[in-house]
Amino acid sequence: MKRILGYRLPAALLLVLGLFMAIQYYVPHPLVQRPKELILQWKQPINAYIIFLAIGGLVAMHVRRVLKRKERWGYSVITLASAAAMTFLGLAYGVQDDTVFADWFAYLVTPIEATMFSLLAFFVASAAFRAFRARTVGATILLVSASIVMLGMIPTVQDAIPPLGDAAEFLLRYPNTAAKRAIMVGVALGAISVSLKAIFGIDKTILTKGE
Amino acid sequence: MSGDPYIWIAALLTLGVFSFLVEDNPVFCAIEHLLVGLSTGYMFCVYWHRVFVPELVKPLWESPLGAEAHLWVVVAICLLWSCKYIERVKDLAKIALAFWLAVDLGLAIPTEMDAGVIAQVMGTIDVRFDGTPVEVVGDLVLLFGTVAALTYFIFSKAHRGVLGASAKVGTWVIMIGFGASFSYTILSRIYLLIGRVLFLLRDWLGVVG
Amino acid sequence: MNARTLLARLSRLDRRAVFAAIAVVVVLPFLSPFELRAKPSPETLAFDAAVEKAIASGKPLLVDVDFGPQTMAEMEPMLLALLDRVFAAKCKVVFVTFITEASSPLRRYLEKMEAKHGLVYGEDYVFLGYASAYAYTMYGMGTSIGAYFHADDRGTKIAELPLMRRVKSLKDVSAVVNIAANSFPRFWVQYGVAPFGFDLIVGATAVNATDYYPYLQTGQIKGLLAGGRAAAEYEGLLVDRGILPKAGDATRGLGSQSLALAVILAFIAIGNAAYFLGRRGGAKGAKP
Repeated sequence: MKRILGYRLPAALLLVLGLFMAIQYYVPHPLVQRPKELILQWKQPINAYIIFLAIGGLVAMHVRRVLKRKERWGYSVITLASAAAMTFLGLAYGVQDDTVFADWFAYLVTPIEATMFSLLAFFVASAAFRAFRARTVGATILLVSASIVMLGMIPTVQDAIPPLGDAAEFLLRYPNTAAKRAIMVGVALGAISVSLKAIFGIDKTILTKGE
Repeated sequence: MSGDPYIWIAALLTLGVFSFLVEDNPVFCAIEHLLVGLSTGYMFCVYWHRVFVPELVKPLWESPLGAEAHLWVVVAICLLWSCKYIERVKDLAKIALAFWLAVDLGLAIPTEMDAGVIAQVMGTIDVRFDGTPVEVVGDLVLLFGTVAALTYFIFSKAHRGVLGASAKVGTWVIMIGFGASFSYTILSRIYLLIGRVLFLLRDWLGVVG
Repeated sequence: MNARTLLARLSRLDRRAVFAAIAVVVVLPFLSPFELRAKPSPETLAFDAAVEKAIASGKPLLVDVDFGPQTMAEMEPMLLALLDRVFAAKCKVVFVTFITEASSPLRRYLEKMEAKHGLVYGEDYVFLGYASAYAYTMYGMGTSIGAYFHADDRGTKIAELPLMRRVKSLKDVSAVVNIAANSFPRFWVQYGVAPFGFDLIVGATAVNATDYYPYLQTGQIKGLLAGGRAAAEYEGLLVDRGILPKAGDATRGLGSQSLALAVILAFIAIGNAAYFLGRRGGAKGAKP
């Protein structure tokens, strides 16, 4: 019974539903499109439920840390208190624009998040200064290409040396496109291959682990 | 200088995060954990008000056996997913996971082929010989550059002879692409810093208009 | 002290000195009266042309806003310039977002726009709110929007909104504009443009923008604003046409961006010069 419910049934579901979702793309008949519509509609609330489970896991981890007085448990108290406060405000007063919930997002969450990401400007400058060396042919090409594009982005340089701006535009439009396209095609072919192998059960997946 | 207490709180939090540039400190750690808590609460409430209640709870409450009765399948899948926390029935969660994976993987096959392979190949071979000299050269660079970069990713054969030369050129093309990405990354990060500086100088201190 | 020693010392500069240099060059331009203007790139001109074409069609527009506080500095000027343009032209717009952190800021932007342009909610614009399972919702909206949004962001049933009686699926919009800080434009191409073939116009962070050039070349994306600088270019275009009275924050940041880029290039040059001089000195020293 465990074998059927835990392995055979999921594998069969993966095969049948996976093939159905692939084939429905080419079949406009309502008999095929109606079930597809329903399946896509189910995704949203299931996604929400998975997020709730993940949030539950995070809260449980911090609660365990506080109860067992693990290292830096004081910070976990901050996390739990702020999560509880925000959740209370959102559930009690709603999430619309004229609420304390929205104000806390605008004046607490927004500045912290924005500033965290703005730190990257400093770190990218420091990293470029310390590590960006033309040690090999490839690194030199990378350095020259980056320099041309960066110089081409400065308006005064672009006005003073128009060919530099044109060179930057050429690099972005052609060699950069070629590189990104090659990666994109490779990733797409890889995704198709992995999907087919998982659907047909050729590859071991998390579903067949432990069988 | 602003008189709004919220702006002052935002400014102090901004400076607290910037203190990390000097060195890691308890103020920064506390703000970090505050962010985690607030974001978690925010996300929960948005999912509750905007997805879970209007797309599942409300339709089932208003018409449990009507047009939205198919949503009971969602309830069943959610319950199956919860089984992973109960040792005796944790294998039942695989049924929910199989549903989730089947939709993802099944839909990925035709869409990746259509958008990621066929359209890209068509774009690569479309060389406009009637364009300007720069466009013609560019399209040829695009065609040969894409082929060369693709040959770099053939790892099942040794990179020798023609394949080796092509892969070498492919590496150079990829390096040009990464150089462009790197410069744009720097551009992007600088703008994020500009945003915070503008907030501090304009909205908080009021020294710029 | 010779050049090699100086460069070697500079290349070992404490990282906090580098941080301080970046902070100074970003702050200084704000305290000066000079403002730079950026020449619009072909991609920005294509974005502008695609938006104008969508407005001229007379059909509503769908705008998907997918950025949060992390990238607000780069994306907000882009979005505000776009909103000023479409609402000045009295274009009807349906808004949606696929990330939770965009819903709160987007409500505030729309409130400001409503007051500025005298808009009526439900007739001139609708905010459908946050939708999860982005790829599948994008794919599903190609055939029916109502199936994925029982109510809008304010809790009103979709069928009760006059604008939504015109917009039943993506076939009823002139174009989809995605202002995204993540890789959602790729999903719009994969799950929207490929099966349903509408016009997709993208505003992206500079980090992600280089990845969308292949889509631009194939025509899967009709126009691209690549980061804060492109937002400044677009603001400049709208100021020239008299749609915006003055340029916004993106243009204000051009001076800081240019100085910071120049300083970073100088740092890279110093580092490499020290490296090569050090290598040459080491090689000379090795000779008998």
